[in-house]
Amino acid sequence: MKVIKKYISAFVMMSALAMGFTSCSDDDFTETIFPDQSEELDPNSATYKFDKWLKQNYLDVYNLDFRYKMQDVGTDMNYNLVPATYQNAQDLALLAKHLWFDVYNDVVGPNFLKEYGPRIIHLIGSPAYDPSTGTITVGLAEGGIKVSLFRVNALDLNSPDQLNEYYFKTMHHEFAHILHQTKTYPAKFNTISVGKYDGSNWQDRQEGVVLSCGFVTPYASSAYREDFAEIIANYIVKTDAQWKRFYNLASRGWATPSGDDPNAVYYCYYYYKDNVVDEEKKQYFSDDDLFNEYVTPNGDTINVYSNQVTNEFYRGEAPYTQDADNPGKYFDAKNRPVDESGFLLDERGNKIAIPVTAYKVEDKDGIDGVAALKEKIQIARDWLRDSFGVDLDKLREEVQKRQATFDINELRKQIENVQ
Amino acid sequence: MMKKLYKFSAIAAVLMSASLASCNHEEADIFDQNAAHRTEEARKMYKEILLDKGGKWQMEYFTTEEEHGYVYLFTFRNDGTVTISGNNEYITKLTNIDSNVPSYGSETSMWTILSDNGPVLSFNSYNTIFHLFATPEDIPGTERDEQGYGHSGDYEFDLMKFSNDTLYLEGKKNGAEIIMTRIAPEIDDETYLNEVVALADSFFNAKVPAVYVNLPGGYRHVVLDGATQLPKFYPETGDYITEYVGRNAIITHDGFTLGKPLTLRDSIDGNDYTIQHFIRQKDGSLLCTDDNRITITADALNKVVGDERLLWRVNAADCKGELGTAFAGLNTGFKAYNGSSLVHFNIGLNVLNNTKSPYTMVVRIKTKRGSYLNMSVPYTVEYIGKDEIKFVLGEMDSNMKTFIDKVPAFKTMMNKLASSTFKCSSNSLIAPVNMVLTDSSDASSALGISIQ
Repeated sequence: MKVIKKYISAFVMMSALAMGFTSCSDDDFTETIFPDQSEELDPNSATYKFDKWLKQNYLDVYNLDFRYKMQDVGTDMNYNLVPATYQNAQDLALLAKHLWFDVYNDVVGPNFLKEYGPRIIHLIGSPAYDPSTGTITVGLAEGGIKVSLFRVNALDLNSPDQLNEYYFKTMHHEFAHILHQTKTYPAKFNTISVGKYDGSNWQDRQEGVVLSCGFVTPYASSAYREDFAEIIANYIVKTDAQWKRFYNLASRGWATPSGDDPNAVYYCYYYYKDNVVDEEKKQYFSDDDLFNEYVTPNGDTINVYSNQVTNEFYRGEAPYTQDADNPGKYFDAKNRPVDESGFLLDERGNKIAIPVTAYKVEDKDGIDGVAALKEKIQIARDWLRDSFGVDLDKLREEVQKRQATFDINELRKQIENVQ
Repeated sequence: MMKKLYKFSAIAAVLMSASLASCNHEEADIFDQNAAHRTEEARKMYKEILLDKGGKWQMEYFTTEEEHGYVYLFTFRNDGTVTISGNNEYITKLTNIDSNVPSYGSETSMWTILSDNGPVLSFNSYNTIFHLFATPEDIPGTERDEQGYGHSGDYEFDLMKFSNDTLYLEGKKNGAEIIMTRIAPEIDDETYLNEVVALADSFFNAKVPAVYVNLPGGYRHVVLDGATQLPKFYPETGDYITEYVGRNAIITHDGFTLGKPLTLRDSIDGNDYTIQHFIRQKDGSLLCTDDNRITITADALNKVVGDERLLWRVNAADCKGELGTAFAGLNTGFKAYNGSSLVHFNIGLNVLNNTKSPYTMVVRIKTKRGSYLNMSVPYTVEYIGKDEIKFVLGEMDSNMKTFIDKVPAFKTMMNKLASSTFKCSSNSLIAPVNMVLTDSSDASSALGISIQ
């Protein structure tokens, strides 16, 4: 390897020398060899209004080339990709301005995105599938200047969750990359969930499991920098209710009955069949809606998986006595109705079944998921404030307000009425 | 180390002197303009070509060699829009995933000519009808899993050549060779594309058991699965399993084209012939335009009539003259005999398998009581030349003999068929599903038959 390196160096030196002498040419350098590509917008073009709007709102203001007409040379040729539909490209351009550029403009100041914003936004109709891993790429930030937004053709303006997950979050995620490519974030961030990252199999990990380790999404667990971009993007676009759910899942322990199966399903609750504490009778479950508190006839409060009722029944307290006025009716020592065998009865006269007791899975991952998430947010908050003068919470507040109230038909008028 | 440095210095000195020599400016330029300007000129030229004469084109679109081609129509406009129309099963699946029947679709999107290493025709905004072969999403209702790969279809094409209103393109990503042909601007997309779909049946009708490439020396190669547009070719006297060669193909409004050229050996004259492009002839056959001698047809028409695998039915509407009169008289004859009526008259494959002959002429009648009876007359065939056939009636059983004697009209009809030779004709030499048998001695007398 060293030999090869030496020869390459020598070759470069000699070539440079030779080139230096050939520059004695009297070529005229006054004219570029490239044709003038700065075409004026054509009023006869079907896309004139949109192109003009893009020029006025992106190019002239932010020196940003918003590319909605796809050129495959502008993409990774290893992927099979298709262009965006014209209508969706317009809608996403409007939304990107409304929910990203205008927000920074209002909250941080008009010069922030002029200085730090991307220089190219490239819209691509399809996701970038990687069939070997089964993953899809929905956004890319390259070299601090270019953001590619994928899956534009699936844009569904009637689905706030989909808009949030695939587009709004992606915009802020990719922009977070551009910002940390400009000014690096504190190294302490990388230590919070250290040892829990998995660059190869993140796509197989479950939301609850990664939240418990302090990652806001499975993708965040793929690498430090993705974790950083994800925490910022999710903090900005996800609502308080969604974050409450994140913290709830992050506070739990998770286990799977399937051993080392990479596609195993993890659960945060379990019970024992028939309340017999035996590993073979252990059953896992996750569904929160089925997890309730139950007050036993003895006055104890237990957690139950309410869909699971055993064939065991509560017994009353002996002695059992028959009601003298109502032959065939029995009561226990606490005067509760029982049958002739002493089993407690409900108001309909049915025996009361003993429900299974549910237990929380112990959190053994060694990380306090909630604390880790909060610490990451705080680091991002401090870093944005100190490095860029950005108030993350104000940014979030403004984005959330706009996400909840935008009217696409109203936004479209900007293009229709462009002057 | 010093030795090495001396060595490099010496080489550098040689290069320096060579570079000094390069200050000589006497060498003439090969091109008048630099590469970037030439590409830009080519870009403008191709844009003008595409927009010229109404801007309407037919594309023979191919994806991979495992998939047949699809006809698409493009109407290019100067405002950067293009209307793309197609008629295929994947367009159907956009709205009905359970159907495999081709259907028409049309949508307008954007186009441009890019300057890359050369001019590139790019359909750069998504068109549901056209980009469906490039999109990496799975198409519901298909056997294959397209996710991640799609159909490997291109939507950016290197413009290679323009000649005789034909553009030659190459898919930029996947490399498929594509041809675009200018068509008249007044053509209605839907009508045109429906006609293309209908042609698939007229070229390679599944009812016709064998179709052949007829080489100039007289040797033939069998064409299998032509209707799928993924035909397989093998020598007529060869072995299908070991000798077949497959190609993807496309049926267009004017003919039939293989995705790539195919060379076939004529075992009679010993020559190799290369085929790829075929146009539809008036007689329905396909003529190879690469050679102008090679055709694709079914077997000789009399052989098709006499094919043991086929069952034909007489069409009253196509019968005329004495044969027409005789056929029309059958129903009257049966009614007069016992009140029964003619249901149909079949010729060919002995589906009833009630005689030793592979061929029978079967009259099916409906009795007064509503039950059905089949009357079979066995026969053999003799071929005369390429298009004449003779029916030689065989031995009838005693019941049949009695029956035929009691229904004179039936006897007349059978005698007519047995007493002459018949010239076979069809409006399609490649898919002769409808045939006319004309009495060779009386051109005004004919029987129309259709494959069942």
